[in-house]
Amino acid sequence: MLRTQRNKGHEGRRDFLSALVKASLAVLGLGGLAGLPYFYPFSTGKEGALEFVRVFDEYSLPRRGVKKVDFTFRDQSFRVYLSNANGKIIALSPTCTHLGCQVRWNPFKNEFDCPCHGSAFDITGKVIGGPAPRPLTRLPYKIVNGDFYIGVRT
Amino acid sequence: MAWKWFTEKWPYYQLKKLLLYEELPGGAAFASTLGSSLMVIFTLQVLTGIAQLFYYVPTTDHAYDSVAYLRTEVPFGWFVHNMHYWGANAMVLVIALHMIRVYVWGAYKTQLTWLIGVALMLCAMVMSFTGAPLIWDEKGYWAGEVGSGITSTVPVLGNIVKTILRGGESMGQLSISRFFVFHVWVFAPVLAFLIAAHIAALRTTGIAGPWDERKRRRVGHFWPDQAARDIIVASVVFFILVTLSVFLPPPFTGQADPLNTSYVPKPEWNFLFVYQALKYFQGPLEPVGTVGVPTVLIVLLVILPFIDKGPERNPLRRPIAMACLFVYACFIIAMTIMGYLSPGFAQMAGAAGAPAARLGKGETGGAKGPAGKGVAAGRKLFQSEGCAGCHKVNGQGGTMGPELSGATLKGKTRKWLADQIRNPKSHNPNSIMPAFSQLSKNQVNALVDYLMGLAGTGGAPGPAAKPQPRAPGAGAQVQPGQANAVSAPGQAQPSQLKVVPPDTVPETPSGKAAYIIGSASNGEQLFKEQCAQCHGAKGAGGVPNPGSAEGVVPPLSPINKNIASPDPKQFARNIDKFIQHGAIPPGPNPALQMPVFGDNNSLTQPEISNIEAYILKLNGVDRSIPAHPGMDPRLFYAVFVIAYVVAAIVLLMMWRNAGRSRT
Repeated sequence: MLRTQRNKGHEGRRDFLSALVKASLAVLGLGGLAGLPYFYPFSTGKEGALEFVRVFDEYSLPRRGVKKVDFTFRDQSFRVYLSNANGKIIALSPTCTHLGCQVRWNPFKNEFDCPCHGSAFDITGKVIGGPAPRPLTRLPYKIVNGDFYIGVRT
Repeated sequence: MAWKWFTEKWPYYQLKKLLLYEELPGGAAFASTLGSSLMVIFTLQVLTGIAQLFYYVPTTDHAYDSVAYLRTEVPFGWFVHNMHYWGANAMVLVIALHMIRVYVWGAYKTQLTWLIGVALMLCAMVMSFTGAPLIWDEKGYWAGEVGSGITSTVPVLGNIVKTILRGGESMGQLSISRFFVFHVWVFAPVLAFLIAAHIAALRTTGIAGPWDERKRRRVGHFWPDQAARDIIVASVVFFILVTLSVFLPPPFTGQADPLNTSYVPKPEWNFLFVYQALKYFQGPLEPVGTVGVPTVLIVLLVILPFIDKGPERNPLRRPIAMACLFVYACFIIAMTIMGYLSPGFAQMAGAAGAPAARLGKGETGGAKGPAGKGVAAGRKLFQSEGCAGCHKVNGQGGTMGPELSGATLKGKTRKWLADQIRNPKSHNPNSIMPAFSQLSKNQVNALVDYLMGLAGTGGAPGPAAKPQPRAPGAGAQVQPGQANAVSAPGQAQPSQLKVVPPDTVPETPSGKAAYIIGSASNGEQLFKEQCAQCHGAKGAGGVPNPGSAEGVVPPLSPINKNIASPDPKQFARNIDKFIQHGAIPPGPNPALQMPVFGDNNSLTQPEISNIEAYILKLNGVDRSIPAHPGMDPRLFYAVFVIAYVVAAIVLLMMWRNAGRSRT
């Protein structure tokens, strides 16, 4: 008597347990989705801090054309292209705005060329060819007491 | 005894029967061996992958070194690494052949097996993509940089996906960690799971067999008929992999260097078709090339078994399907070949590396001033005589002498320039510029034409002849690079440079670059730009150095035998001391001295390591030769081939014998 009753309950409990497992998996899955930010790092405020680094005196600035400047700051290497198009100095980041390769100045064509997918930028960093969506990033700089400082983020 | 106990407790025989004693409609065939070859390749990848994990370190500062250590210092490490590299390539290639085979036989009509197969193919591509950056060499770094950058072209979600892939805005430690976790801990197990599901689906639906109904009635057995064929083909694949691993090791492309512009990134061959597609879709259409084309190709594969549901499997009676395969395959093969042959954008754009060939007409370069006839010839001479080694023009060139574009030459007369070229000491007795008295009058005129053009349209008035000396000690946080390494003749911070005879290895310690295995081909380009002006093309020497005891700049090929060494590590350490710290040659008043390249960061350590690899190559020493190969690779190969042939003959005889004894 008792045994038959138990067997009767079996079917219902099996279904219940299956539903419970499925529901738990669904809850876990949704919980996992909520955990997605775990994989999406936000930059800390410290990372974005802008600092001005003295590179050289203002007499070393290019009178015309483009000058490549490499320097290290807090163990990090930096490269900046300083261009002087019409008497105005522009500091340009060498990172192509397309997919992040390093552009190089081509003095024979008077343009920055990207080796990866052929983007080209003029001396002011404006896109003149290729797939790059934006001009080269301009970096802040300042000249204080005859010294030239470039703004970098470490 | 123990075996019997084990098989009684555990369903060994049942499992064996389930897995092996399958009946095959149509009998065994060599055509259906590709799947099992893939199983063997995957197993090899797992084994060589685990073996590499014993040495690999997934950090930006140690990944390259740890792989280089594995390949050169660990006995048979080179073999393990090369097998993994070639196994990965073989995997992609054999998957393609396997899919073509399944398509021609019409076997995709089983639907589920095909779908899991498509997922497997994608998974293998992901493995290929995530594996390359782990080495953190130039090739892998840029493949990762560009590959993850491509995801950012996806509308709306692109940047989020890119950030999640890289673990941040730019490539760095979090990127290598993520690629490592994806490659080893996520997609490798997923691949294994999908392979199991693929086989389970295959065994559930049964294999398709030949398309001919009558042939399909003949029944063969997986074990031993098909398995024997599988083993034969897999062993041939293994033989090819070993041969490639011994004779075609993947090149060392140098440690990843985000600032290196001498390396032209191009994707691995299996992604070349995407690279090529990217060229046709630019601007707002770019996502079509980066995401659209691959998505269409994948969707076509996924919906295939649901479009073509007809029972006909004979390829001769499926002309449309065969035409589609032809178009699909031709598209990918043609795009791959075009991507492979395309010179790369850098060469197309005429990069600074080979300017001499592109001179002549149509120039829009720096020479805009009162250009004489000789401007083009002068610019050519400027390159070929090595002027660019010491003088910058428009931001390109060496730093020993003053920059010549801009205001430096403003106000100088033609005669002054000609005198400076012929006899620099006539203007400044302490000038270290070599006298170019060997040039003809016409050549000097051409050079002057070119230089006058540079000086013609100077910008704001500034200090004319000499750049301002840099105040020492100013800007203490910054270690200046090329921008102000040596600003003018005679101001070379002599206290830092030591006098070193060219046949003596300095006592100073070598730098980090000496321990990095560089890339000789990368180094060749850097050598042309940085070293060839003084050490001669390919280091052949012969460049005069008046005032030094030797009279000439020491040649690097062959280099002085006290500095050379058959041991690549020792050799690299010896020349590294010169490159890092610079040196002054002995003599009363040497005109040229070895500049500092490392201490002032005018070259990065990976760049120096590439130059060192190139100088070693000039002297017949391979920087990347395994120091402890375990066994000489050629001897290893000879032993392998003999073992392979002997085993093949013996096993074939035993196979025939075994067949006879049962009948």
